[in-house]
Amino acid sequence: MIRRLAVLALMAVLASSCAGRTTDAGLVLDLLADLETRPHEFSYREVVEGVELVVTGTVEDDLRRSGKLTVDGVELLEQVVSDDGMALRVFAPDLVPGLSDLEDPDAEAALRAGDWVVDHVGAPDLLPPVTREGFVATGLGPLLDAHYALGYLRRAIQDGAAVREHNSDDPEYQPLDDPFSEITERELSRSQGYRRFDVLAPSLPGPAQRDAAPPDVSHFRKIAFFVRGERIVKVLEEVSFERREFRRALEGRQSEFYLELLANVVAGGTLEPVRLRSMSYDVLQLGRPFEVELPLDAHAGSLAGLLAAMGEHPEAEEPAEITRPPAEEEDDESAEAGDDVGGGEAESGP
Amino acid sequence: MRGARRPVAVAWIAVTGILLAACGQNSEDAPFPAAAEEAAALSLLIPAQVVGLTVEPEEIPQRAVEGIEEPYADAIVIFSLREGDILRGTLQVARLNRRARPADKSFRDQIVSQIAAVEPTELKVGDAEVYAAGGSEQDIYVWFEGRGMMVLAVHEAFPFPRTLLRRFVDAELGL
Repeated sequence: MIRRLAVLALMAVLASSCAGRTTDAGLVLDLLADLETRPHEFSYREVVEGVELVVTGTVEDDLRRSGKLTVDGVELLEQVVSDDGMALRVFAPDLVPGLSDLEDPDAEAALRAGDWVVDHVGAPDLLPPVTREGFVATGLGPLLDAHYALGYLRRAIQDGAAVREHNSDDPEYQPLDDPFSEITERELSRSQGYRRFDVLAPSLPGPAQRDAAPPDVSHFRKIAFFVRGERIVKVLEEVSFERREFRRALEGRQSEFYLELLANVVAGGTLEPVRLRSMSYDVLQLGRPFEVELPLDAHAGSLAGLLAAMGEHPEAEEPAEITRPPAEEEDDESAEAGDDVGGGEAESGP
Repeated sequence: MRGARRPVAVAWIAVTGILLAACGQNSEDAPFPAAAEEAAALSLLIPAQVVGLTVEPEEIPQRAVEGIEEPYADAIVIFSLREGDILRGTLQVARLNRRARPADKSFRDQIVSQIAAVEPTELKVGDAEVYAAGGSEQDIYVWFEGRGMMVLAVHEAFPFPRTLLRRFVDAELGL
């Protein structure tokens, strides 16, 4: 019996090491790049402090996407981004932070009436903001977090210690430390045709490394990519202070150093504040051509600062004058949004 | 006005970068030819106005290409993009020769690295894979189509750079 278990353990170790960390990371990055370049429908879900934020939408390409936000099941607003412009429509104005702070009263009035407002220079930046330590920021507001989700995941792979294909037969695997064990077994197992790739967190400093730099978000982030065929179909992330070392220390099976470290981390002793959350990104449809267009029946106005106001760290922005792209003489597919202009003549935006 | 001249300067860098990229290789090709025919052909694809900017072909002074014997491009056309008299950007369209390997990503990366001062972001815009980089006071977009290489430089004061990029990508300018 012992010999058979040893053989099984050896086979599990060989199976897990044959793929190679570099190969698995390269594979996941390639699959992620493939997803990033393909039109697709998605559902982005985030739970922070018990509040569920869901953005469902469509990606046509890197400059055109749409999304609808619900908060705890309540439909809040809808967004369309197309090239330089962004349009918003609000379903529950009393629940949208920052709406009263819009510098454009006409835009605010239109949004409160449930109408579309298009800001022809309001599209988010191409690249996500990064923190002081160079991590891709989250907590920007659910629409922005969803907008940058794939770029965030790409960076998270690079921040992690390694990428390894999941193997529940690995003797080092502990379901207690795996927040995705149940859903993997229930819906996304290998026998159901899925492969799972985990981004491994870096090791925590040990008792002999008391002077090491404090841990950062990458130490507390668990990410699993679920692949079916040659496509990523789902990504799960859990950012929490639950780690094997802390669990073992609480059980008395690891150095008390880790209890001290846990207390320090919970009290804010990390390189930067760690935003605890669970997140999922589901690819609902892939490859079918999707077309995202700014609504034609929209008021033109400034939406400056509204998306950022929905974030946890809103920053003041300069108010923008209403701007719309000039009509083109020979182009029927003009970027302008119909004749319903809510403001004055076009001037340069911020 | 000083800011308005910058895009033209960047376009020159893009031109010399791609022309000089192949220096050192043996060839019996003739010196760089004039691109009047290519400019005329492209003018049929590009409207006279795009996103409110007047599009006009610009001449490339011969001194800019003298002494270059081993280019990757055998024809280059540069268009100015003006809002009235103010230069808001430039569009450079190069026809790559057989020495170039535009289907090879490493080749594309090498060429783009000579144009962009910072590491570019790779975007999917329609069917095109576009390299986007922020330069000094401008945005630079580079993409390849068939044997064509396009470099769009847009001054930061112009509020619709992505819309402009989309228009040129959709025009399918590959020579």
